[in-house]
Amino acid sequence: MNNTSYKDPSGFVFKRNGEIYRQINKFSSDDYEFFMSSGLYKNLIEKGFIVEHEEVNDVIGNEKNFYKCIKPFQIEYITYPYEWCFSALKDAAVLTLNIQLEALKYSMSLKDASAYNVQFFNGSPIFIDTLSFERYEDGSPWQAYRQFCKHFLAPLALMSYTDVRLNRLLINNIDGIPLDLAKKLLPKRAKFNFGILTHIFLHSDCQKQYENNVKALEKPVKMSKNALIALIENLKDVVSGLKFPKIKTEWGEYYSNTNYTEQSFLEKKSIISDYIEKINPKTVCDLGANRGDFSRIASDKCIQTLAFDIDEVAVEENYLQMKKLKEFDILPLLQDLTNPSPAIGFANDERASFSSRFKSDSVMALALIHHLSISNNLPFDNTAEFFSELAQYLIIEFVPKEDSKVQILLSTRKDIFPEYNEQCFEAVYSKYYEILEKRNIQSSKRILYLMRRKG
Amino acid sequence: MRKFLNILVIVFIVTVFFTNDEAKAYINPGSGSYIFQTVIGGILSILYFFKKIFISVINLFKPKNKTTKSESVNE
Repeated sequence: MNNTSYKDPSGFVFKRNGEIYRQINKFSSDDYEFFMSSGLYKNLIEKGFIVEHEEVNDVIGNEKNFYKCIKPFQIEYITYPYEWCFSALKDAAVLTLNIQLEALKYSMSLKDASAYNVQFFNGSPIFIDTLSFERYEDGSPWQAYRQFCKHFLAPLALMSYTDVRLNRLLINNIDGIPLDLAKKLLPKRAKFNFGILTHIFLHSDCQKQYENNVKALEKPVKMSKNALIALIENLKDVVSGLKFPKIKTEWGEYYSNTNYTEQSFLEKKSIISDYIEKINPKTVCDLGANRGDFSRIASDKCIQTLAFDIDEVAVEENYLQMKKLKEFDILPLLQDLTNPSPAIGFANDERASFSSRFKSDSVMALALIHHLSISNNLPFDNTAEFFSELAQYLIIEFVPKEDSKVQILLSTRKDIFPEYNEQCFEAVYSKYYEILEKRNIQSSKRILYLMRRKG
Repeated sequence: MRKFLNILVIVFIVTVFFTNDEAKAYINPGSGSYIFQTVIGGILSILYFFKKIFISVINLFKPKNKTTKSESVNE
């Protein structure tokens, strides 16, 4: 799950029998005990801000530094900030700031503000790092201020002012977007936002100004608690004030430009619902979910559903709908399936890849195959193998060449796909799957398959 | 009024930070952040003090049961 915990002397995360545990080292025993006894932990649990944990005695980690071992509430799917849409990242940022404000009330402070310390569960962000809390010393500044700006404020500002796709810079910058880079990429008009001007532009200049100044910290840097609270409140106002840019994308209005009739749309929903009931999965990964219309067939049946899409507008709309309807079983996520999230960090072992994190009972690939095969030249063999490694069951929609959407894809390029047809599709997918059912969608040339992985 | 305050803050920050010519040796990239937040925190605490007074005065004239903008997403 999180192999970066070796960087933290307070403790580390480890996996045993498929479950996550966290060792607390002697180094942080005082902070941990104060966190638990001060009432802060209880308060954060009551507010739903942090995952619950229990202390366990039967699992002993590393003996040398061992103090205690805790078993946190297990979150099945770990997601990363570069997979969150704008509002999800914003919610995670506000959660981090709210936790810091609560911590200060109990004379504690967050010693880091990593976006990776937040996960999504039951439709809300939740903090997962129990060892991020340390005692607040009167007059000390917020140690995690710079990290907060790099992990949250910089990507949010770039998404809001420059381009909504720029959260993907977080893949290349595992410890957040450097402020000097954010400053270069932000347009001049961003300087009219006082918060962005101060926390990114001036903050970056100040970093540069003092990076070579050895005398700067000779005198202890002091900051009153009121000033610290005002800083956090201001960051909260700045983050809350950032808006999703007004843009139109290819997929944002996909359903209003579709070639389905109302009847075939409903029939497609009915077939998918029927397939899902037959396989009765605990988890579903909907690949190419758009705004999640079909994902909700699964999540409305209380099946944990991950709704992936490449389109920021579609995922943003899906996320806002999830929030509005207070849905617990769907999580919209950004993902480019032709270039899924890689394993990143030192030794490629700090943040796990897409395919190692998102194993599920079933995969839905609706109106997706033509994009993978025709737009991205991916042979059926490769897509079938990819899907079969993710889940046992596959609900897949075959979109034939005669379909108007495929015709659009072929209108600007030479048709070099002689094998893109129903027969070849079935022949290749049959190498990996047993075809359990096949149904045509009326008033359309599309076919919906239910398949089960072989072996 | 708000614009005036913003300009005042910016002038202050520029005066504090960018008239400093000392450049000796590498410390670490976080030292600038430490110093920056102490200054900006001080300024913001004054602004937020007046903001709180302003909001409480405004609230006197508002009907009850309305939430302020700062009570945001996760609360």
